[in-house]
Amino acid sequence: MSNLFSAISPLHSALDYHLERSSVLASNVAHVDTPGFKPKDLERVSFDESFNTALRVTHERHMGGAPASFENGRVFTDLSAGGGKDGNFVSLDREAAKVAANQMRYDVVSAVASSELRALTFAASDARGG
Amino acid sequence: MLGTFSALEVSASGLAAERIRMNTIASNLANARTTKTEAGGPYKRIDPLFESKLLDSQGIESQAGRAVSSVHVARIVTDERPGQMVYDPGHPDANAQGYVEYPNVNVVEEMVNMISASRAYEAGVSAIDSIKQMATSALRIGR
Repeated sequence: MSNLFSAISPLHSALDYHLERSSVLASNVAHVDTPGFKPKDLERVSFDESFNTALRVTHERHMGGAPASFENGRVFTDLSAGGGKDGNFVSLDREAAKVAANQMRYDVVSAVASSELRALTFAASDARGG
Repeated sequence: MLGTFSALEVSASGLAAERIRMNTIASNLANARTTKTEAGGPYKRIDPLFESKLLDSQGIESQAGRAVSSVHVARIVTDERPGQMVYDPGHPDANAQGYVEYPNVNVVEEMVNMISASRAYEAGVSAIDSIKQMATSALRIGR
């Protein structure tokens, strides 16, 4: 039986992921002049993968895994930009591009969430507007 | 869970650090020809030393929370490179051989640092703009 909000809950974790990634990227931009700083990034973990690390539900009447252990992404160090003599690996252009792309993805996901909710409003109002 | 405000806090710490860097550059440029200081001797150029610091407020329990750190100025370091010696026996600060030691400030170097600091500041501002835009689109969900 599918839940009324089943289309929206995966979008919830996508929004969380992009919000967390924006913090990580903002930290990289802030450290553009800190000697020895290695930029971090957050990669998306697939739902199955994170589900396997959480408690697996073996019986339908058991309680699910604690949601607090759920991670939206895995942190990795991105050294692909190459470092300077001070050991700082932050490339300002690359980080700016990542920030812009991350924001755009967030906007797309929130627009999709909005349209899902609009569809529910439309159905709830007996298809009279919404 | 890291929220909108931790991203803003981190970006703001970067802006504050770049502003301090801009102040040290302004001090170096203003004192490019200062031969007398309170400590004695010519002015010596200063540099801020940036250091990263984990956020203590929130998000430490998650993996991303440990990856995010704000930046702050650990201390101001003095550049101990020797200054330029100029022969000018009539100068009040000339030594016994008639040489005056001018500050070790290279104006071109300071200009380059200034441009780099202002670009870093602009990048921080655009990161803040992007976070604000994300918060705005989150508020639009369900409208």
